[in-house]
Amino acid sequence: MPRPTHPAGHDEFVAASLPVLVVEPELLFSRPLPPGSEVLAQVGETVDAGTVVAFEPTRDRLHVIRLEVDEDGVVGTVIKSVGEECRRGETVCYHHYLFGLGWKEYVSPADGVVDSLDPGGGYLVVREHPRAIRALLPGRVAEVLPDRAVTVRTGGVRLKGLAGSGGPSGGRLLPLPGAVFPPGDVAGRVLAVPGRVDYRFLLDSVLRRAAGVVCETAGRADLARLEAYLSGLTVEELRARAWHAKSSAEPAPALRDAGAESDGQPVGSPDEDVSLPVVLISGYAGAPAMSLEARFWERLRSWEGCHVTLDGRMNVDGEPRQPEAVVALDPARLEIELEAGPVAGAGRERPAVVLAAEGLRVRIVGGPHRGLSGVIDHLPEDPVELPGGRRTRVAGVRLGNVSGEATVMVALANLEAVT
Amino acid sequence: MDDRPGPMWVMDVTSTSVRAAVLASPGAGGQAWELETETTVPLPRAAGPSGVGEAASLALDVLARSAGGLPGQGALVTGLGGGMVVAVGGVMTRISADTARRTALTSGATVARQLAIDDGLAAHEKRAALRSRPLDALLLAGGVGEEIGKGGGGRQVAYIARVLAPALPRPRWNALDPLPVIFAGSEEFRGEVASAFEDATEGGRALLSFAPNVRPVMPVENHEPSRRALLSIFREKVLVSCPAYAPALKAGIVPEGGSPAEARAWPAGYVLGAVARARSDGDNVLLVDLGRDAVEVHSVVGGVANRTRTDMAGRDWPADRWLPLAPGSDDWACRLGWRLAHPGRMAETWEETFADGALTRAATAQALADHRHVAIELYGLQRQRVGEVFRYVSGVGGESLIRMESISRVLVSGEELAAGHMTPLQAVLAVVDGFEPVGLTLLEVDVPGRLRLLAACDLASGHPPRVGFTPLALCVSPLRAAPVLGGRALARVTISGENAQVNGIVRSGALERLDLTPGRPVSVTVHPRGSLDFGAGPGRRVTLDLPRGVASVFLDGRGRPVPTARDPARRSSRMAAWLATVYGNPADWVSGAAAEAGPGGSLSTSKEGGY
Repeated sequence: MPRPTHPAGHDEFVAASLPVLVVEPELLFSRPLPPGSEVLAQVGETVDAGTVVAFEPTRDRLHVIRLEVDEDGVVGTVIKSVGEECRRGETVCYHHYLFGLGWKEYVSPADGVVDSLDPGGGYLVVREHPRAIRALLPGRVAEVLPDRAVTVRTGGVRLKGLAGSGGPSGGRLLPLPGAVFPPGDVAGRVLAVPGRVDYRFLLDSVLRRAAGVVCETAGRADLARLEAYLSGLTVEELRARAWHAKSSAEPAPALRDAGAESDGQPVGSPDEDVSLPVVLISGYAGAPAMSLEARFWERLRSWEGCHVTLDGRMNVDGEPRQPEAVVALDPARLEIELEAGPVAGAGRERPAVVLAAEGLRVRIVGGPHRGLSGVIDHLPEDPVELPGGRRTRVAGVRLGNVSGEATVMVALANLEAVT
Repeated sequence: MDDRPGPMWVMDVTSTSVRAAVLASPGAGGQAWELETETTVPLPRAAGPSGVGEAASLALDVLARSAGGLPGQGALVTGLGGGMVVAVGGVMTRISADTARRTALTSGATVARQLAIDDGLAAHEKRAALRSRPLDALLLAGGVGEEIGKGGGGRQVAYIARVLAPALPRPRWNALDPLPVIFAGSEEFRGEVASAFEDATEGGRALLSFAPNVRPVMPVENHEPSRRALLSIFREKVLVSCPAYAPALKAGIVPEGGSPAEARAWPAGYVLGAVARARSDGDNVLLVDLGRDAVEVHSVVGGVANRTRTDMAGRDWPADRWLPLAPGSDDWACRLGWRLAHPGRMAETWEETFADGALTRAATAQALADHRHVAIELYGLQRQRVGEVFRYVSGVGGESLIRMESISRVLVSGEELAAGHMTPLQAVLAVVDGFEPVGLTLLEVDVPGRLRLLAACDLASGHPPRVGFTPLALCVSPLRAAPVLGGRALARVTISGENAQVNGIVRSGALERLDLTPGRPVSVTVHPRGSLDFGAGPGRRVTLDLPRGVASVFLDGRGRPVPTARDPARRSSRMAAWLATVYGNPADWVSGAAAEAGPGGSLSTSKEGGY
């Protein structure tokens, strides 16, 4: 068989990065439901971000407390009866022994109701209150699939990230000029940060109970550290760490500052799991620093206060997924934004490949200059040799975001067109 | 007489690229055109066809313009999103469910879930697991040994059907269609299974069909009928519903008015399996397909073919072990992260090349580990009676078929090779480190990377694939050799050619490379030291005539598993030394690291521990 030859233009296509900030009049956002959930939402219903659309099933949320028993039944006094409310840490039974010298208390492990009491066996069962599943975005319920998902239709923008961690969560958007906290409370806000964030900033965000972070990039090791820090962390444990840091001789700066600035304790219910979804629009940090176009962040800044939901997980039950943040815009703002049109800058939201040509704006996704963007200056005909003996065609790219307008050679496979 | 088909356009669709070619008939002298277009989907690969349809359309358009029109015949091979996503169910995990899994895998599907009565999940957890991911089909097995019902057994078959029936997810590409469900278990229980799925069938959520039992008796598997049923679902449901394949359909991949079952389209895993079977020639072979989003391993051992697919996306790979410099730094971690987020990008520097190589090694090693779990001797239960009173049940079989000492050839192919992002030597080295072959193992490479295209072309004409691999290297490594450093000689290797003879030494703790002159017939003789075994028995000499084309012999005395020190700096310098040996000191920083580790890649100290 004759060796195949490439048709003209074989190597001259590059992947295209169409606008990442595409305002859509209607986009669908699904809230997954665990099987057995109690669904409250109905199709057509208008919901707010905080509206409870369903409750998680309580089937698996029974806590059994083993009380001490003798032949007469439970030793001690049960002070909560079946059906009565009890809060986490509240005493449900006590008894004293050795003529009052010894004292024992049984406390509820969760907020809930006393489900049953077996006086003979000494089993007291607390049924934890069902956890609410909230809409996280304002809109209208488009579809309800019991045991599967509630889908909300809203207008806004879907920001796709190339990496991330944690989620899902939601809150109001708070754009920052950089990785520096503003004075005031950021609890429940989704922070939008241009540039790179580090572990210190992410830890501060956790302690200040921010709802999430959308940023350009972060180190992979920083995200791994954050995940390790958050693993199994509850608000109660977080408070303990903050308190310990404030009272210790050499507190960790982040913990100390967080305790001081938030004027007390990290907010939230004690048994609430602490999470901080992070969406990295440009993926993991590279060298040199990444650079999304300024217009991207300018547009985000104009949306301060809008509801955002974000999910930074890259894998759910072994299934790969793409981190994303969805910004919901109110109808009046939506109309203005739709007229303004899309903003280019990052991501590969829409599928396309375009012909590489001089003058094409590109983003570099590989090689030593990855993360930078520029314009194709020239396209040499001859391929160049790469390490290991591979040969490929390259383009001369005039970098637009470094001083001196340098021109670098980049393999065509490492270019994305920014249209 | 060569009865290959005439000119044919062929398209290979993956999640990250679309390769299309017009292949001329052999001997006809026709021009062949080939084109690759990258899709624009960084993540997630399994979630949607975004960009693939456009890339396919562009590929076919350009191809048609360049080749002066597309030929009338076409074929499609696809690994998009795993080709076809299937859940399997059975009664016992290691018996019927494992058999169903092997059936699905060898048909080219990706197995998203494996559920069985003894999988440790409660019924509601099984349902949640099944429902959590859209599928293309559900394959249900159970009831090994017909007439099982006569003894009162087999109720579990109906039970697993009743558990799963209410939780059928939507089909991946067309949520309005019912989910195809194939029951390939005992025929005695078809009625009960049908009644379990009655509600789902009547409610339009399930399309139940029956296939012959995949495990009719304990020692026999019968994959073919169910495999055909799954391929039929692929062609009739998946192909026509998934938007990514629309350009191929438009170009006539499904013959107008023809039976969809005759469509010339296959999941990539099926095609690669056919290649592995055709290339085994009675030997035990492994075929590894290094994709950008997944690593597929096919094995043919003792005539038994198996396949597994290990997805790379969304996983955190332990690639640090294979990094030659700056271990544990955030920069390396970010490089690895970038590689996963941008699978189509090309390494431009040595650092990136080694980061890619580290990731490939980690993924290859994991892929082989996954394959060992699937490619096993058939497991069954054996009842024995002792005297008149005692009876006991014991499991038999279940041992992995993949023992590297029985593998004589490893075939390497993949998208990375096809796109030129990895040289054949880099691919071979990654496989040597990931698979850790022992004895004398021949490494053959699909150098042009057109394996899938050519195999699809052959399958379309009803022939077994006649794809040529190039024998590239021979790996010589002792069996059961503990990883020991110190440069002690383990064997003397003599390579005899027509006019010359080359000698080499397999040294403990070292990887060395001997270059041959390609095209000349040579034979390799290994003289083991003491009672070391190189495949012919302890202390026995081994001689192998190499096929023409073999360019290198790797003398691998590093031991198995390849040792990695606990100390990251020492570990990376050791890796740098090995890479410098085989690459011939590619860069100053690598050779600098190698110099720290000792001459020739051999490491002279043995007190650092770590293995």
